[in-house]
Amino acid sequence: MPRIMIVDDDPEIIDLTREILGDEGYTVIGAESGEECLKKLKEEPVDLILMDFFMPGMDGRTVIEKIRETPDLKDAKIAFFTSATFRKRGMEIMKELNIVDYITKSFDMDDFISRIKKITGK
Amino acid sequence: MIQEIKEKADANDIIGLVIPDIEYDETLVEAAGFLSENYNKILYISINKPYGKLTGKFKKNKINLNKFYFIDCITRTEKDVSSTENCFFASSPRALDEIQTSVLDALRKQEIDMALIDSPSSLLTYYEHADVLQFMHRLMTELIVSGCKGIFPFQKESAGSLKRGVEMFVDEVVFLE
Repeated sequence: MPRIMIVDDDPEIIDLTREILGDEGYTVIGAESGEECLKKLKEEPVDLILMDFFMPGMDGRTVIEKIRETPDLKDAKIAFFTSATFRKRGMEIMKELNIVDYITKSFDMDDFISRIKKITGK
Repeated sequence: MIQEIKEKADANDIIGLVIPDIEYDETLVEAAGFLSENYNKILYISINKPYGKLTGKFKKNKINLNKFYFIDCITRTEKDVSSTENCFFASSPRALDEIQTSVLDALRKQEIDMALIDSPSSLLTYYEHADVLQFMHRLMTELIVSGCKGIFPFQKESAGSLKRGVEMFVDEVVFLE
């Protein structure tokens, strides 16, 4: 089954996502900061990265830009998973960064799982 | 330059402005003049410029002060002063909750149709990047909910990564050269 990395400074969100996606058979790897995400991605590849936006240190956009600059990771599937509301320019930036989806945290669980299945193809 | 701001402000709800550092203060005064001629009431949130200094500049440039409601976040850090009919003096730029409440209050009572925050990046002196980003995001959400437009200016050379973060919440960014 696909491996999914959830990047969020809130450990409760990581635990909750791990529980929800774990029940569907996914392997979920948590990272509590952009730095931890970049470090873990170098050690173990994943099929999808769910990225928060508001994080201390590097915000989600900065982390994604760093991922895209890394040759081995530049094609990684990334979706925003955030409470932030992005407007017109934000949507353009997501397109430029090849973001596959934008999931808000006040999510419907069935919709969330179905979107993850659609992205990962499993 | 001002024509470009006008066109983008008319076409969008929230815009970012990127202004060369050396022209920053002067451009904001020009922008205030344009806003006073094109909007009913402007909320001017000043993080780092005292109300007295701002209104002095506005008067010198013959800008109609009656078109503005100010939230001054800096004067009370230096002297005791009471809020007036057209200015709320927040206790400090550190008081984000108080600033946010005063913004909500102004939006509710003053029939504001345009807001300008001068300048978001100065909050980085007091808060971490993510906290300032979240504050800006809440502010923009409040403006949208209130049907008010917003302008978020940044210094080109010194605003750093904050302007790249805030770019995600705006409709368009105007780069002034």
